[in-house]
Parts: sequence; structure tokens; C-alpha cells
Amino acid sequence: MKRVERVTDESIERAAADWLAREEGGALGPAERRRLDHWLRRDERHRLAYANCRQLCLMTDFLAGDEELQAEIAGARRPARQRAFGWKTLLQLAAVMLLALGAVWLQQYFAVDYYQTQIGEQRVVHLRDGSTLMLNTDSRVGVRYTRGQRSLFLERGEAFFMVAGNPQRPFVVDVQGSEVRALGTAFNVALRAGDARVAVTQGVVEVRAAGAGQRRLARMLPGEGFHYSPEQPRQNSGVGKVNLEKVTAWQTDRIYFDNDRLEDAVAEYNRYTTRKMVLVGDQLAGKRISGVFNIGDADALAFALKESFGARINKSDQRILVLPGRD
Amino acid sequence: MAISKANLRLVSNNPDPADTGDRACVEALYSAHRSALCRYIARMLPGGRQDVEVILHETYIRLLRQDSLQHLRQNPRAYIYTVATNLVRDSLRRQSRRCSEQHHSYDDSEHESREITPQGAAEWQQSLGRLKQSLRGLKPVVRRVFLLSRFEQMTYPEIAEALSISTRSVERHMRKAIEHLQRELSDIL
Repeated sequence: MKRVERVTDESIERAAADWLAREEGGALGPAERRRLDHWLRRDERHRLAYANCRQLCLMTDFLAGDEELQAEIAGARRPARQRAFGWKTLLQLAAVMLLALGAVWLQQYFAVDYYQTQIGEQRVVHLRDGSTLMLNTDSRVGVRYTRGQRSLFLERGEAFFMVAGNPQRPFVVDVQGSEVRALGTAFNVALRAGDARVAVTQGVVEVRAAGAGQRRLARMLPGEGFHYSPEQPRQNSGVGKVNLEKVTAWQTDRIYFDNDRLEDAVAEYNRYTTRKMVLVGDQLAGKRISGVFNIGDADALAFALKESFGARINKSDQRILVLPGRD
Repeated sequence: MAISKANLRLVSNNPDPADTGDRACVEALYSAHRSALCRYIARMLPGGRQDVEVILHETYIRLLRQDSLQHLRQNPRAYIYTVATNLVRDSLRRQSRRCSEQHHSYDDSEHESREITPQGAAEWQQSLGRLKQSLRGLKPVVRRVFLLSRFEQMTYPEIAEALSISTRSVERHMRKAIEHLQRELSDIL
């Protein structure tokens, strides 16, 4: 048997064996699972060692017909499994049925239901546990309920969650690997250009970082908010007061500006429409604007810009140009 | 690889291939496992969706290309996952080679992937023989834990109860078994 160069060193092999042993026990929690994923991502040799361990376990499955090995575990086998007569045919039959059942089960267990909205669209989704999900414009949320946990995935955009209380079954919103956790709560999560903003209207909500240890980043009470970068959770605002009326205005089809920079206000307006408003030049960008507007009501916003800043408005079917006034 | 395939064709002399039925069977088994398999592969190939698709596709092709569905029918899950895992390992080895051997001229025959899947017939039987031998090298309790987990899909608490040991010991024995097999079989991995 020729000796082939060993790509993996011993400590990695041990770590891989350790991970697989723990994983096969079926008791790996979501946090540990993420740590395992992290470990795998970190180094190619980790992945190879892990795959090797997997392969060895799978190969062992093919020795299940070996009488000598079977004899060793004869006394300890599950009593429910009698393999007395014609077990091969029975097993084959059972395999086919199990497969069908398994496929259904797998689908239910792993299936993620996705809800999404187009630009300018909003949607209310009633989930089967009594929780309600409101999707803002151009958003996508995945929902996967298992017995132990209600997992949601905010893939893009913004959503408001009204959570039906159930301490046995945590309600967890995954935002690019980080977690927003709640028990009997209502809260809003918005994901914009890599920045996640959480605001709480009821109950207590926690945010946990992605990766090892799942460090707690924030714990918020009603009226509090927190924004952070899921990829670099160190970059965060700390918990602070938020204007709930502003955060939740979208749920009643409104946009709420509170001394916002015009640049940001226009970006906010543009989230809801494909007919984008464009600020021409930087003279207007830094101006401040306050007020409540109906979503998609370009005329009202344009009028306000004209009145307040003397801006000139140039509308076409595709876009609305906002030009600085001629002083 | 090519040689062992040719051998396989000669040896297995399936009188009625029943091609369409086989194909439907492969198709059904593959699609039943596909989504779970996809996640399984993605964890080991976090590089991107595309790598995962390639492996999935190749797995499917390999399932179709075999001469007898006997192994596949007996234990579809183990079979499909073995084929896929082997492809993943190939891909990982190729990647690390690309990194480490840029200076060397690389000898194809030496590094060509070893097909330790049921489709490699002779080599496969040899590997299983080695595996069995290595299993014998384990302490009896470690071996029993490992086999109960693999053959009976018993959970750790179930195994612990059956063998009157603690669940922690079960996990420790599992780790030992896997470590031991890696060490013993590193030359065929």
C-alpha cells in the first residue's frame, strides 16, 4: 500500500472527528452549527478532513450486511427492529416507503417558505403560529418553522414582526448570519446596504452576532433601537431611543422625515418606486427636511421641495429630476 | 479510474437493463435527496453556488452511469452521499493542489482521484476490506458504539442506554472511532 502525502495534519483530523461526533449526536444547536460552518469555512484542510470523516462513516454503512460486525451489536440493537424473515425484501419495500415519507418530511422540515414584495408593494402575511409579518417594499423574508424554533430570514428589505408568544419556541430572525431574537414581541428590522436596523415596539428583543459564541450585541426594550453591520458587528450604534412613529410609518403607507438630510430622504422615497427621484448637484443634498408623506406620492414631495428649497422639478415617466433653484 | 470502469462493464452482465425503469428510479431517488444533499455539499464547499451545482450534477450523472442499481436500491442515502462526498473530496484536493503545486509540474497519474465509491468495483471492495480490518482494531465498546450509530441510526442517548454508559462517553467513543479510522485509512482517503 503506497503512502500518499497527507494533506491534513493530526490536530485538524482530531478536530474534524470531534465535530462529526458531536454533529452525529444530533444535539448541535444553531449556534454550534454556525461555529462548525465557520470552522469549515476557515481552512480548506478543515473541509477535506471533515469530508474524509464523512466518507468513512458512509463507507461503514455499506458494511451493514457483514454478519461478523452485526453479531457484535446483536444484543444492543433497537428491540423494535426484528429482522427475522425475508428482511432484505422487506427492507427494500420499507426503504421505498420511507423514501417517499422522508421526502415529504424533508421538504416540510427544511422547506423555507419565501414571501417577497416588488418595489412599491407591501404585504401582510399571517403565519401559522399566529404571528404576523408585514413586508415593506422590495423585501424578501424566508420562514421555516420547526418544532423547536421559528426561524425567519430577512434576505433583503424591511419587515415588521408581530410575534405570538411561545417561550418554548423562540422566534429568531436571521439577518446575514446575525440573529434578532424575540419572545412575545413586535419589532422592525430593516436591511439597507449591509446595515441592519432593529427597532422594538413591544417586549424584549436581543441581537446576537454571527459566528462563534454568538456574542450578544444588544438587548432592547420598547422604544429602543440598534443598528449594526451583520458582517462586522463591532460597527454598531449601541442601543438608543428611536422614533417609533418614524420607524413604523411605512405600515400605514407613509414616510416620516424628521430633520433628515434631503439626500437620505430622497433615497428613502426611492425605495418605494421605480420612478426614481434624482437630486442633481450637491447643493440640495445636505438640506434638512421634516414631514410626513404618503408613499409613492411624488407630487407632494416635489411640491415640498419646490416650496421649501426653491428647487426646480423636471418630471418624466422614468424619473423625477430635482434641480437646485436659480438664485 | 477509466480502467476500473471498463472492468466493471465487462464483469457485470446485466441481462435486462430495463433502462427506462432504472432511470426513473435514479431520478426519483436523486430528487428525493437533492435539497438535503445540496445543503450537505454547500457546507463543505462554501466557495459558491456554482461549485455545489457542479457536484450535484456530476453526482446525478454518476448515478445514471452505473451498471447495476443493486447498491443504490439497498441503501440509497448512503450510496448517493458516498458518491457526492467523494466528488467533494476530489474537488477539495484539486483546489489545494492548485494552491500548493504551482511550481511543480504536476503528475496526473499520481494524483488522479481514487474512486472509493461502489462504482469503483474492485477498489471499493478492497477499501471496505481495509475498513473492516480497521474497525477490528478498535476497542470493543468503541466499535459497538460506532456500529450502533451507523447501522441502527440510534441516537446517542439510545446507545448510551443500550450499553449502560453515559451519553458523553458515547460521543467520546464516536470521536475516537472516527479519529482511528482516519489515521488507519489515510492512505486510501
